[in-house]
Amino acid sequence: MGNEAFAHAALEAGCGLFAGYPGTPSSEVIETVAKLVADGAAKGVHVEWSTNEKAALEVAAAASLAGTRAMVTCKQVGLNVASDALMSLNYLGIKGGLVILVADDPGPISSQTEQDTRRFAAFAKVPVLDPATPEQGFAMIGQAFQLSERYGTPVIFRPTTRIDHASTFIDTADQTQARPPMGGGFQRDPEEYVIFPPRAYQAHGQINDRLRSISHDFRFDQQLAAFNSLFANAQGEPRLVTETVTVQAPAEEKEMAKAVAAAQKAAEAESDAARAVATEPEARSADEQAVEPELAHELEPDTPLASERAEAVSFGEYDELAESDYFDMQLLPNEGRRFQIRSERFSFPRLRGSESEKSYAPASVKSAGSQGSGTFYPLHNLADESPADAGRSEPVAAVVAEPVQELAEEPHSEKLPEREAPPARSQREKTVQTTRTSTVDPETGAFRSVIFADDDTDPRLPFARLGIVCGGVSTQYAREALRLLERAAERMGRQLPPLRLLQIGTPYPFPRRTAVRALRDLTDVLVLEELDSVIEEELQRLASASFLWPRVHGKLSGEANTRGENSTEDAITRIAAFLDAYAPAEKGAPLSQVAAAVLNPNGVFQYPASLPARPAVLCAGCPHRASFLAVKRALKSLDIKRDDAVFCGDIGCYTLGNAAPLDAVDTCLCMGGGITMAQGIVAADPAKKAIAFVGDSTFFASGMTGIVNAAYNQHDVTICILDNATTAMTGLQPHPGTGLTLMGEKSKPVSIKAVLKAANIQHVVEADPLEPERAEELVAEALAFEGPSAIIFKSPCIWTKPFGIPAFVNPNKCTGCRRCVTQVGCPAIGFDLMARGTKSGRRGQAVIDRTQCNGCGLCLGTCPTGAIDITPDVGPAFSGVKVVQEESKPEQEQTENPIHGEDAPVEAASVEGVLAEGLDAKPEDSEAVPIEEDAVSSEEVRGEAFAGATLATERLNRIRSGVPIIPMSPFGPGDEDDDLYADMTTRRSRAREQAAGPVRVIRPQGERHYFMKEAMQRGAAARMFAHTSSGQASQQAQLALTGSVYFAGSQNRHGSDAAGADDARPNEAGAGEEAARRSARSAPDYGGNSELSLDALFAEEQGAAPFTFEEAEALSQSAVPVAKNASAQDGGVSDVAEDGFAFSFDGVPLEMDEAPVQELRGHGRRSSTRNLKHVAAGKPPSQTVGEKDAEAAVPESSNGDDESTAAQPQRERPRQIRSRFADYGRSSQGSSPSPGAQNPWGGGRR
Amino acid sequence: MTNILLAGVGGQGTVLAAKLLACAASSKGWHVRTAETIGMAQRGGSVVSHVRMGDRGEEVLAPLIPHGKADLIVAFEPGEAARALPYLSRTGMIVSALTCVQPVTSSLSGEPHDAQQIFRQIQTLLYNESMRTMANGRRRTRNGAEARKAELVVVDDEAALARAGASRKMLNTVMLAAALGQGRVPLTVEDLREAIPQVVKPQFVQANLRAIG
Repeated sequence: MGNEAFAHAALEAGCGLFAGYPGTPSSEVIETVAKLVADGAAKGVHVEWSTNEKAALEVAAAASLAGTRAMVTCKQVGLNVASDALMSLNYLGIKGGLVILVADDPGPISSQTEQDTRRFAAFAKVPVLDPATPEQGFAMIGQAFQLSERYGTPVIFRPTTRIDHASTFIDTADQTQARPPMGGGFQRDPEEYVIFPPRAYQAHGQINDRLRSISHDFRFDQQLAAFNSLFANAQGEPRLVTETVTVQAPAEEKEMAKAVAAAQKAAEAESDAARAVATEPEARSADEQAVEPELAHELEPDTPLASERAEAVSFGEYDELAESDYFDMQLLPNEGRRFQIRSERFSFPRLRGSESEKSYAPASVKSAGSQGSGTFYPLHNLADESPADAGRSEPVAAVVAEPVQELAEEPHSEKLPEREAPPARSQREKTVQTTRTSTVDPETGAFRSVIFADDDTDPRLPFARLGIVCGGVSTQYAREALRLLERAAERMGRQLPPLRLLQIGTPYPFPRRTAVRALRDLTDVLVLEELDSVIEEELQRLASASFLWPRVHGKLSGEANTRGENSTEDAITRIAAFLDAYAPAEKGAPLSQVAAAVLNPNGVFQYPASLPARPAVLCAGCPHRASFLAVKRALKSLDIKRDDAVFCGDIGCYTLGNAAPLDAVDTCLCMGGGITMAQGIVAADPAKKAIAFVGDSTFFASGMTGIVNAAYNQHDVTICILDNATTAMTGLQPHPGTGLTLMGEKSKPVSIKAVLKAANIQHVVEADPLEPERAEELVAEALAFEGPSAIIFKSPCIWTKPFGIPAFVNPNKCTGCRRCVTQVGCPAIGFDLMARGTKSGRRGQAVIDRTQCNGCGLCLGTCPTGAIDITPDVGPAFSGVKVVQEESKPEQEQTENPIHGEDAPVEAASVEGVLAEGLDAKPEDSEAVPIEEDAVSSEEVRGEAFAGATLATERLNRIRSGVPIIPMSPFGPGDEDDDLYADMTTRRSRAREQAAGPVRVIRPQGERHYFMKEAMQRGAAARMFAHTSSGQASQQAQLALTGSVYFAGSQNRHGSDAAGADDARPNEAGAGEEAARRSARSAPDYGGNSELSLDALFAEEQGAAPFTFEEAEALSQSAVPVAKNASAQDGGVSDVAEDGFAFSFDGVPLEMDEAPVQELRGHGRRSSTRNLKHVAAGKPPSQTVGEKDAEAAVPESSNGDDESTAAQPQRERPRQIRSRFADYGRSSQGSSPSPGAQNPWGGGRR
Repeated sequence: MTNILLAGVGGQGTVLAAKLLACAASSKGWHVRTAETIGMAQRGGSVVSHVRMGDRGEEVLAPLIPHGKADLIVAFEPGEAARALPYLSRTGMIVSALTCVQPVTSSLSGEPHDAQQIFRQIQTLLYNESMRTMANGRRRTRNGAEARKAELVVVDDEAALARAGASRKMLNTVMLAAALGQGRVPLTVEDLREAIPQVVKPQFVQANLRAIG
C-alpha cells in the first residue's frame, strides 16, 4: 500500500520519530512503522499515536530541533488542528528534517471537507510535494527530508486517498536504523528557538529568501526537478523534430545552414567554458550563482540530455516501453539540426546572462542578476520585459549567434534604450514564411511534427501547441486517457495533435521556471487537478507576469471538474473536448467521437433495476447502539419529545447513529465539536435539552476543553462519552484511555471519569449500555440533573474481543411485528417475508444472522413476545472454539477443556461425511489434522477454521456439564486481512511468552482492560442465562428447531425433527433447582408475576411439542379466527393486546411512537412470563385462546361497549409501568424531582 | 493490460483476494497496481478492489479501472456483481457468488434482493450485447481470433465450500480459483496456489490450498 511505502521510505531516510493521530487515509503509515518497530526491523525509532495532531506536530517539531528527523502524519482536517503549530514553526525553523504527511481526501471519501493542503502550504509558506504514484511518493519522502534540512523548513508531503491506498510492489530495505541526532542533540539557542515579534520579522525575511531558493531548486535540482515530469507524444526515435522546414526563400535557408554550422562550433567552445565555470555553484557569490546555473543549462544544445545529468532540466527519464506508448518521454531532441527562426507570435523571452548574448540580453537582466539574493535567478525579470521584447525569440544562443549579430543592427526601440531592438518585421517576413505540416512517415509509422517555419522552438522540447498540466493522481488519469485516446484514434484513422503533459509535483513554491520552460510556445493548456485550482491559478499568475503565455483552461473556465474526484473517464472527456476546441483536425473524426468510442456508451453495462443500498451502519452488537437507545428511552420516560432534544454528535463510529432507525445524531461538525455545540444550543435555545455524544478517543483529542467550558460557563448539558476503549472508525488504534502505546510499554490508562471530576462536573456516572434498564435509569438521572452532567458508557468495541453467543429468533413465538427491526436497526436482524410461524401469520418473521450477531442482548428486550433468546451456538456457523480461561479457576479449565492445548481442534474431511456419521461422531473417528497451536495467553483468543459437526458433540457435552463456550467469529481479530494490532499484540505477547513462559495477567479490582479482553464481562449476562433452566431449555429448543435443519443447509427454520427434539431433551430435574437459585440471584427484578417459578413455566412450555411446519402453516391459516375475533371485537387489536401492547393483524405493524415503549420495558422473559399466564393457569395455549375469546365475547354482549372493554386492560399497563420509572426521584442517589410529576429542570425552561 | 475488479461486502475478504492476485501477477514480473475502497465501506458496505496488471510488460498508469475496461469481475455477492457491471468490458467475464447478503435497509423498508432476479437481468444485458456485436459483424479481433463475448458465470458458493469442506472464510479463495479457472485472464489457478503462501497467514495456508483443491 502507498502508506506502507511511505513509512518504509521515511525509515530508510533515517527518520527517528513518528507521531500522528489516526485519520483516513493516513492511518496506515504509523501502523506500519509500529509493526516494523515491533518486529525489530526498524531500530532507534520512536513511534506514537499522539493525543491529537497538534500534539503530534509539536512533539515532532521539538524532536527536529534536537536534530532528529521526524515525521507527522494526519489527514487534511487534522492539519487544521495542527495549524497553530505549523504556522509558527516555519518562523522558528527546524534542524533535523521534518516532514508532515498530510493525506488529502478528494471526493470526499471519508472526510468532512474537500480542502486542499497545497493552499495550506502556501498560507503557511511551507514547501509541499504532491506525488502522482506511490513510487513517486516513495522517492519524494527522501527528498523531502533533504529539502527540509537544507533550508530549515518543515516540508509537507501530500498524497491523496488513491495514492495512499493503492498498492504496488516496491523494493524496500529489510533493516533500517534511525539517524542519530544532528549536532549531538538539542543545543540551546534562545534567539533562534523562541518566537518573538522581532524574531518573526527577521524570520519572515528568511522565509521569503528560502522560498525563492526552493523554487529554484525545484527547477534545477536534478532529483527535485524529476518530480515535475514532462511528457510528450512522440514515437520511435528520439529525434522528435525533423529537419523538415519549408521556407520560401532557399537563399535564406542556406544562410541559415551556414549559421547553424558556425554557431554549433561556437557553442561547443562556449559550453566547455561554461561547464568549467559552473561546477561548484554553491561556492560562488550571489551574482555568479544567479548567472551560472543558467549558463550551465542553456548552453548545451547538442548534448543528449540522457547522458547529461548535470543538465538538471526538469524532465524525467522514462524507460521505453515495449508497447508503442504514444507517450514515451524520451530524450529530448537536440541532436537534430534545426533552424531557429525568430518569430513574433510564439516566442517567449528567455533570460540569459551569457557572455555571448550580452548584446542580446537586456541590461536590466544582468543588473538584476547581480542584485538578486540567494541562488535563485529572479523571476521578476520576466515582467520587466517590454512587449516589444516579448516578441523576440530566445533561441539557443549557439545556433543563432550569427543571425543575432545581423539583426542587431536594427534601430533601437524607444522604451528600453539599452536593449537591442527586435528585428524589423519586414525583414523577418522576408526571411521566412509559415508552413504547418504534420505527417506520418509511411515507412516507420513515426509521427513527425514539423516546425512552424516562423517558429521559435526549443530544440530540446518537442514541438507542440497544446499542453496538459496535471497535479497528483490526475497525472496518471491523464496519461491513461491519452493512451486510450491514441489507440482509439489510430483505429479511427486519425492522430492526436502534438501535446505536452507536465506534472507539477512541487506545487508550492510553484516551479515557475519549470512551467515557463516546459510550456513555452504553447497556445493553450488544460489543467487537470483535484480539489482546488492551485496550479491553474499559478499558471494564470505567470500569464500576467509574462506577456505571451498560453491560455489556461481548467476549473475556473468550466473545462474541468470543480469538485469531487477525477477519473480516467472524466479525463478522456475533458481532453477530447479540449483538443477538439483548440486543435481541430483537418481530417479524421473529431476527438469527441473518439472519446465516445473509448468510453463505450453502448458497451458499458448498467443494471436496469435499483440495487440494495449498503449504507455504513453501526456493527451488529455495537454498544453505541445500546447507548443511543438508552438515551432515547430515557427521554421518553421523562416525557421529553424527540424534537425537543438535540443530539449533538461527533466524529467517529457513533456518527453512524444518524442512520435509520436510530436517528440519534442531529449535528456533527468536527472533532470534539459535539460537546461545545450542545452548550451553544442550550445557550441559544434553553427550551431544548442538549445531549452531546463523544467517543473516548475524540474526548482526549479535543473534547476535554469542551468539558471544562461546560463546567466553567455552567451550561446545562448532558455529555455522553461512548467509551469503547479504542479508536474504532480508523482501524482500532489505541488512545490515552487504553494505556497501550505503540512502543510496547503499557502506560496507566487515563481515566475519563477522573478528568470529568477534575473539571468539576458534578454528576458523573458510569453505565454499561448492554444492561439497558440500569443504563436508562442512569441516563434519566443525568438528564434530570441541573447543570452539566456526564455519563460514561463503558463497553468495548466488538472488534477488540471475541464474539459472544449469538441470539436466535424462536419461530414459534415471533409474531412478525418487526419491532426488533424498527427499534434496534441491528444489521444482524433481518426479516424474512416468507417465513411462517405459529403466531406470525403471513407477516413473515424476523431472522437473526448468526454470523453477524454478537450476542449483545439488546434485541432481547425489544421483543414483546420474547421470541429472541440467546443460546450457545450449536451450528457450524462459528468455526472456532476456544474456551477462555477464567481468572478464578485456571487449572480446572485447563484440564477440563479437551480442546485447548494439545488436543487441537480437528478438521473433518467433509461436512457431509460427518453428517452421515451423525451428530454423535467421536473426534477420533474423523480425520484428525492437527493444526499448529501457538501458546495462548489469557489475553488472546484464536480461532481455527474447520467444519464444526464433530464440534457439536463437544458443545453438547459442554452444555450439559455447564462450562460456558465462547465461540469464535469468522471475522475476529487476527483473521483474514492484516490486523496490525492483533499482529503487534501477538508478536509482543509471543515474544514475552517465549521469554518468560505463559503469562497470567492479574487484573486488579476495579480496573477494566478492554483491549483484546475476553468476552467475560459482555457475555456474562448471556452466560448466566445459559445456566438457568430457561437457558437450558432454550438451548434445546434451538437445537431441536434449527440444529439439524441448519446442517442440511436449508434456510427453513421451521422444519423440526421430532426425533431430534426428543433426543436432545435435557435432564433438567437436577439442574432446575440450582438454575432457579442462580436465576433468582442474577436475574433482575421483573416485578409482576414473580411468584411464578420459571421452571414451572418452562416445564409447561416444554410439555407441548413444537409444531411441525405443516402444523404451523395450518395454524397460521386457522390463526385467522383469532385475528378475526380481534378485528371484529377489539377494534383491530389482537388477543395479545391484553398483555399490554398493541399491533394490528392486518399486516402493518404500528409505528414505534404509537406503542409506548414503556410497555416493552424489561426482558423478553417478562413478556414471556405474561404470555404464559394462561399456561400457569393450567391451560394449553390453544384452548386458552379460545377461552379468552369467550371471555371477551361475554362482557361485550352484556355491555355493548367495545372500546371500554378493550381499552381498559390496555390503559392499566402503561400507567403501571410508568409509575415504575417514576421512582427515579425517590432513589437513594438524590432528591431530584420525579420526572413524571414535574418539569424535570425547573420552571421556566419548557 | 489486464484489469480485474473484485467486488464484495465488507468482511468477505475482498482486499485479501486483491493482494493474492497482485502477488501472483508480480511474481510473473508484471507491473501491478491495486486500489481499494476502505474505511466507511467496511461496516457492512460495499468493498471494491481494482487490480491492474501490465501483462505485456507495460506500465500501469491509473490506479482505477476505467468504466468498461474490466476483463474480469469477481463478485462475492450478487448485489455487488450488479453494482460492478459498468466496469465490465464487452469482452469481459463476470464471475459471481450465489449467496446474497442482505443489508440493513432491506429489512427496514425495502425488499430483500434476490440472486436469481439479478442474474437474470445481467444475463439479459449480456445477451443483448452479444447480439449487437454479432449484428455489427465484429466477431473477430485483429489477430483473427474469435472475439470473446461478455459472459456471466455463477458459482454456487455454498455447494463449492461444502464440497471442499471449507468454511465461509475461504469464500474469496474459492471464488478466485473459480474465476481464474475460466481462462479469461493470463493468470491461472497454479499462480494462485503459489501466491497463497506468500500472502495468507501461515496458519490458514493449508486450509486455503485445500479449499482450492
